[in-house]
Amino acid sequence: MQELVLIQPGRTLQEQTVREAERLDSHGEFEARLVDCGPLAYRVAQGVLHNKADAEDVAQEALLRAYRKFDRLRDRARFRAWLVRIVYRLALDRLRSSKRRERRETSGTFPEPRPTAPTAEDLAASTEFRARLERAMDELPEKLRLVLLLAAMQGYTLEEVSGILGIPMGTVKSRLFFARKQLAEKLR
Amino acid sequence: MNCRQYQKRILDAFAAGEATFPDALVGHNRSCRACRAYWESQASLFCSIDAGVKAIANEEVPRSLAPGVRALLNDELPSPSSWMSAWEVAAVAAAILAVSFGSVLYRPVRHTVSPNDRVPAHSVESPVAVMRRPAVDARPSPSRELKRTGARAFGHSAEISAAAMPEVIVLPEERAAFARFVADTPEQGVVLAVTRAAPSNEDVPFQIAVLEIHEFGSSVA
Repeated sequence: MQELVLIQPGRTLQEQTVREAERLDSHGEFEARLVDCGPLAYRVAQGVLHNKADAEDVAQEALLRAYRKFDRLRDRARFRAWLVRIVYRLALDRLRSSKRRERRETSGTFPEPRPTAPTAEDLAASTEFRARLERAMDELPEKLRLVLLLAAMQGYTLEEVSGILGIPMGTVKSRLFFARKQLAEKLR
Repeated sequence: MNCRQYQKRILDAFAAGEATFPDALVGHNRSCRACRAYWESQASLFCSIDAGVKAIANEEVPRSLAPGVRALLNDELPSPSSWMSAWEVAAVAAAILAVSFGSVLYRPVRHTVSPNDRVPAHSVESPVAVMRRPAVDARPSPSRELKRTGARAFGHSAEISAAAMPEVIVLPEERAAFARFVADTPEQGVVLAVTRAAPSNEDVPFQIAVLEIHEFGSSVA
């Protein structure tokens, strides 16, 4: 397909070329960050939504939003933190809307029992525990939940979590402590 | 400390992820079966929580994630460089709106009249013919309406040519704006206008009167 370039009046070809080159540079840089941070975006979304399709949707939307505003991000080193905030906010919005929908659809009916794995007992037990854990995590305050998720991700130290979220290390530790304690109390 | 306080410390120690526990706690556990059982249950619970949270936080990333984002990006390229273009488009749209608004403010306006104001079809052949007729002041006309705002119909004058006359159709509700327009014109005092009644149906011809409009400044303001 032939690509047509419209040269706007009052703008020289040189300026146009420079802008195009900047755009390509920006696009290349974003591509690198997509490869680097795509999994992080997906896992944050998955940690909130517990649904692969929804998590992928939300991660893609967050990455697209990040791309649109990438040129406006002054400190590129903060990209990861910025992306985490976008994806976490989008995931929470999606979760809330799906819960509202679920409430509407199930209002007036009895809840159906959760399906359990048909075979191995240990698998059934782990599935059940995971479902309880997900529910308990959903009930955690947002700040605690995000720290818990990021700290549990492979390859992220508490220092990095502190850097991503832009909060002191002590705050990360205390949030992690309260998150784990609340989970234990809910799952007891 | 009693067992309850010990158990609270055990819970806090596990929640904090401490690798070592205070000697007092360890000593109490050796001697207290209930606290030892609590310790073991908490150790198992936190082990399960850690494993579960790790599994949730490290879900396998679908292979379609990055290609999906690239496809979405390709759909909307060249988005980053088009921000200025978008602003420029907005500026052009704003300019067009401003020009349109300006033209609406100073556009010729139409004047609607009652059925009584209409001239019989046989009396008018065309606007030019009407302008060459004697004055239309014997009948109620748009010019009479305009008198209230300072406009006065006057008779046909031979020296006024049709080509030289500005044609203005004034709606009653737009007289104020028209008056401002007249007040702003360089030739203060006399403005010639042709009024044209909007027919209610296609068969009724236009009525045209030659007007002199004066004293707008005092009568309208």
